[in-house]
Amino acid sequence: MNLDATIWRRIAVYLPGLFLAALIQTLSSLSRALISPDLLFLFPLFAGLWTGGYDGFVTGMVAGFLRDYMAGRGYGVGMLAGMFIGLIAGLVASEGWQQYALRGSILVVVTTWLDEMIMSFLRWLLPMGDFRTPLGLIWKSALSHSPAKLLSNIIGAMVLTGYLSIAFYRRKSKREKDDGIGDVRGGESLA
Amino acid sequence: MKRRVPRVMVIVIVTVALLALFILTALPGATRSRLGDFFGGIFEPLTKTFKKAIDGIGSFFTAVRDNRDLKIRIGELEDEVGRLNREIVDNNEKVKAYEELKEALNLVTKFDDSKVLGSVILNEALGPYHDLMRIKAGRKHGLDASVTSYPVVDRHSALVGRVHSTETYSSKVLPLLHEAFSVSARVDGSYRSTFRVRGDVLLREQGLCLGDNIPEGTPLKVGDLIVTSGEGGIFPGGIPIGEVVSLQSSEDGKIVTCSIKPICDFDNLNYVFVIVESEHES
Repeated sequence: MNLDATIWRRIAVYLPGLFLAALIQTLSSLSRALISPDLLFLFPLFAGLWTGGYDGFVTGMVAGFLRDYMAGRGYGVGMLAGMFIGLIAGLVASEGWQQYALRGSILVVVTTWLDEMIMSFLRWLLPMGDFRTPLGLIWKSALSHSPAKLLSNIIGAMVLTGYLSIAFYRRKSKREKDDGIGDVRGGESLA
Repeated sequence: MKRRVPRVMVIVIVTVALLALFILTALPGATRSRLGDFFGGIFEPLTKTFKKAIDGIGSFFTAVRDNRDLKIRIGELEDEVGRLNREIVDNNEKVKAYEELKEALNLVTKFDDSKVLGSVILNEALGPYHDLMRIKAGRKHGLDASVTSYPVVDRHSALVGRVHSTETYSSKVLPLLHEAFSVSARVDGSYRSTFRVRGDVLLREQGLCLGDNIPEGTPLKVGDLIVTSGEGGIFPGGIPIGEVVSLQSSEDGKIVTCSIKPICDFDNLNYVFVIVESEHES
């Protein structure tokens, strides 16, 4: 884990990370048989959990924009969703792997489910054609997808955790080892 | 170290700005198009890099296997070339006869007057609200969805969907299975009783679409091929849509709706064709 990563290091981690996430998501969207985690949705969540503060907020907007650009019906919804997910993750970020795993798991489950339901609601609210599908049917369809989506997002969460822990890896100094300083993530101390 | 917490005002301002953006771009029109053009220009090099990376990864994994398969295939093809050369000589005579007959009878075949634009699929749907495909063909390639929409077909000329919006270098496509998609259709071989084929939220899960508004007496049975009727102005007639897999009847025995399995294999779709001009209507 890393304590004092500079802004440049965080940019150097998040920028290629977002690029890779978009690339993997594009590839997996082309093959429906594959389990395709929504990495652009998960990225701000884990950026927020890892470094706290504005990181999740900013990456959320960028990742949301990429989602809107790639397949959105308009612009703004994905950015708003990403921004708030990143913010919430930044606010609940805490020290320690145990807390990270616990809060991350809860956030993945809750936000995945909420995102599906809210996006489905918007799909009903702003229909593209003349025919409006009943909201119940849209939600039923979204709920039927939820377990598979959740499973793939949990796998995606583990992949992102792996990426962030490697990207923010920093060898502890002798003093830190002796003092027992540990358990800090990303660009700053959350203490 | 002090923990950084985003300032409330920043969040409020950004939220209001994004909500305004959402409202402006939710309605079809110039704002979405201008935004798309602006970011499309920025993303063009990125998209190219993306495509190269995707192709590179794909090529890496398939190169060895393909090489082995190719060696076997070359042997088979050499035998076939000899046989085909003999067939070409025979067929040339037949083609000549067909062209003469076509000219004499003034026959028009499907897509004769169409300009077809091939395009690679950049990505497919990502979620409930992000449910459009993006293809690498835009206004630079002669598409303009603000004027009219364009039919999109696969390599077997089966219906894939229609162009939803165009940007400078790429476009978004509304697929056949999407609930907002609808097209006028008929049973292949029958030139009356047109009905509507559209996407349906629940049938989409099974990879099917829905036929409804079926007039009484429509000769419809399981296994029938459904094609576009040519009515409606966007889709030329005769494009294969799918095959009827089930019929739903009302209590008095009238066929009310039918489920249709699209011919297009959406699971293995990487390349599509946009029919840009079509003067020929059925």
